[in-house]
Amino acid sequence: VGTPGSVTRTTDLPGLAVSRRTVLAGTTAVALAGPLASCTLSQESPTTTAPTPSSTQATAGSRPEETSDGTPAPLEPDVQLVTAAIADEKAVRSYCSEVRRRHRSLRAPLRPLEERQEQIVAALTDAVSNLPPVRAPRTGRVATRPEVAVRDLTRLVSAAQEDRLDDCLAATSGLLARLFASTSASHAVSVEQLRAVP
Amino acid sequence: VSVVDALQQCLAAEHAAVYGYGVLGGVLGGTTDEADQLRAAAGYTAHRDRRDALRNRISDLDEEPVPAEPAYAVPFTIEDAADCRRLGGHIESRTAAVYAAAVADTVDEVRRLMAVALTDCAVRADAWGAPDDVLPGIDER
Repeated sequence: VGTPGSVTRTTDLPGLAVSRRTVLAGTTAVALAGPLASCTLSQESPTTTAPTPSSTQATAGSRPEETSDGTPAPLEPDVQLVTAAIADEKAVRSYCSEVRRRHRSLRAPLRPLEERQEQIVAALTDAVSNLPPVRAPRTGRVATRPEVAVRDLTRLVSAAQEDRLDDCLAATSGLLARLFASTSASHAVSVEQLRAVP
Repeated sequence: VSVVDALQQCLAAEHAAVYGYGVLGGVLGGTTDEADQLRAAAGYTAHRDRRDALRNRISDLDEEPVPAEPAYAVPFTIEDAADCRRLGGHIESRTAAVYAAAVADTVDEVRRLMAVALTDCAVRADAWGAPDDVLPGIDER
């Protein structure tokens, strides 16, 4: 499509139809170094290796799960990021769920956000195999006025957007960075949608 | 994929986006939907500015920026405002995927730029009414 007569060559609008499962569930799981030696990023294809992939080249079991004095060793940085992000995203989901439970008028408008949060948590959980269960921190009290509750929820989502962007920049794995960036973008969309909630 | 290649892919996507917005802007110009017209104008400006910024950044790396194609194939016929909204969502979703890929291939400041661009595309895709992507740029379509 274009101006008739002026077109000599056409190219499809570019883009990559990338499946989330393609991204997250490849066949070459790469072990992360660290005490959770069985934790692995679920996929890191040879053609899309991280820019600084030192930590993704480690071998599972290369470190003990405890230090010599018996105290738990620190988690590998990317696993730490994912673990903290899951807890954060679960907190957003829990708060959203509480708002919906407390305010009947918000049950329908906030259902998409709660579902979105569930899928984000699932995606982050899928990103690392054998990750121990991550508990959500306790959420704050829900305001009695619906508009205040929505405003508080919007702030929470907006903060998660910024945090996932920070995680994106901190991630060693390129694919994990992409997941965090996409999650941040997802929150930006949610913030816009929350602004339209009556 | 090198950083330059990632930037070139984003530039190619922005060339296409600018072209696509030109197509839908031309059709929307014949309608009375002011909101869509404003959205199209804002999207066109955003993609044009990002295209220019990418071109400058690639030149600063002593590389030749990829040129725009003479024309781009639009995936469906554009006849009315509804088609334009669909095309707007399509452009933004596809461009978001290119930026998402670039995030994986870059670090530091460039990665931040790619991530911010991804977010901008995702928000505009939603504004056009594109199907909800839980993970913009990655999600299954």
